Amino acid sequence: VRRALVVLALAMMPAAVSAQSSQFGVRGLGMPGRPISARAFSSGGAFAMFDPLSSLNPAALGGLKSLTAGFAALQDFRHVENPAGSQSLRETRFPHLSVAGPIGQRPGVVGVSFSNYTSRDFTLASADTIPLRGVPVPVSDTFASRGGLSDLQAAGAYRFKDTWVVGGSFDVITGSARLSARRTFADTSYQASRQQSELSYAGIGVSLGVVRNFGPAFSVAATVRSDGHVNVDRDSARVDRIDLPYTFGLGVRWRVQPKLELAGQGVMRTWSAANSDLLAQGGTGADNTLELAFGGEYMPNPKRPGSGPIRFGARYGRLPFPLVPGEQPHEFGISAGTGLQFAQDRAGIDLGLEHVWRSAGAFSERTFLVNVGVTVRP
Amino acid sequence: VGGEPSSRALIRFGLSDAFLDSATVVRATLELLPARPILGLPTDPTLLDTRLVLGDIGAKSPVTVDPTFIQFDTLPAVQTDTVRVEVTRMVQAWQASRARPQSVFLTLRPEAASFTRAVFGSTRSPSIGAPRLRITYQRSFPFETP
Repeated sequence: VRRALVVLALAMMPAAVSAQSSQFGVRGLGMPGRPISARAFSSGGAFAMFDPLSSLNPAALGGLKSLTAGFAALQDFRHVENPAGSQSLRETRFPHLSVAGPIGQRPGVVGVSFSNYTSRDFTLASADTIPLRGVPVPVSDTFASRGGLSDLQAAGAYRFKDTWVVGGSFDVITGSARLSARRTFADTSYQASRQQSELSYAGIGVSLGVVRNFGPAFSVAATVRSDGHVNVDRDSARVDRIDLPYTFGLGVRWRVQPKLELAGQGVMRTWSAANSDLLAQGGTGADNTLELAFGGEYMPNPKRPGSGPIRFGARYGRLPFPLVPGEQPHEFGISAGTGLQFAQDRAGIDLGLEHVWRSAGAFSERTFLVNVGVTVRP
Repeated sequence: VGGEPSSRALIRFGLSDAFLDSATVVRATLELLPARPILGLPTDPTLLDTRLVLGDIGAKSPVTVDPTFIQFDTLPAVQTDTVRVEVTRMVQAWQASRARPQSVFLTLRPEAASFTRAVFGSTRSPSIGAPRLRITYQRSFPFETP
């Protein structure tokens, strides 16, 4: 029955939808992504610092015992409200992909991952009346962006017995946004105009992480990451250089009972480093962000933790790029999920659901997220 | 322009490369100032035909036959005001290729078969005013603004 429910949930995902990210990703570099697996997603991200298939903490790779590939698909159903009105939107993304495995019989693990760093998918429409040749002419404007920044990460971790795990990663931040601006005139003497451009981004980041296991029931993880800066080219011509944040993360995991595990984490990103660069380009700036998450995982069968667990969690965070200067957006989400492993635990599907509320001043949105993760251990 | 024997006019412009490279033209209007009232017959309408010049070799310049770059309009029986012709497509064609001369050819139709004869000001008659292009354009969109 459980397998049938998973197949039914997959079948309900639309095959083609219009791409439209959060309205809070319109300014700055876009809507920050979350480099986490479907399993970590289901618990609000609380286990991400310990999850080997997430890319938040390179030391978490040390938890892998065999070659594993993970893939996540995210479906977003959103209701947006702002001073221009309200609208229901949806979006499909593939926010995270990872492959990692141990190095022979050594206590080392290496892996690569590809995740969404920021998303810049949006279309904005507005109407106005402007004077042309001394006559007021109604115009309609459309501004659209498709793309964003991605994080290609190569990471490694090394286990010192079962007590310490240290890890590091090298990240290539790359991507592009295809932008277009279109204006139509109510007076047909004026021809509709369309301008297009492509912004491409390139940067490099590094991170270090550690996991300390205090016995089998309690662990602490920490990570620090520097993303340096990203160069911004418009149609191959350098137009900007934007400083990217440092990331500091701390997480704890506690196995309360053999069947119940709880975790919590806090992640701070110094996005204010980009503030002066964005303001200099005419943007609205950037603010530091803090994300707090708490969650748990109940495993009916501790010998097979990946089959049929009940995951739950909540998170609160701030978003870096304000739509209006001085009004930093924030979000709150509650999540739940489960998973299923089959083929002698060589394959698995994780399903996570999250309801997120985001707001900043007169702008708000409610989002229902469906995250489906596929894990393969060949 | 027009009359009998029929006259034609070649008008040359010199828009800068900087403008043609960076602006998005949404409307261009050719404005011709009559040197004197243009008289015609109400029952014998005359069309002012404006065509893109393919290669500027003077009076014998080849002109386009592509209707996209041909603009014509009927002149009233008595025209004393400025004659305006929409030439947006022609200016956009100049933007698309620098090799194309920034010139247009004016004729009256039916050629050599109407009583209408239009005389417009030119650079040789500064007291009347030369033909001019009135261009409405958009500057490059600031896509890089975050």
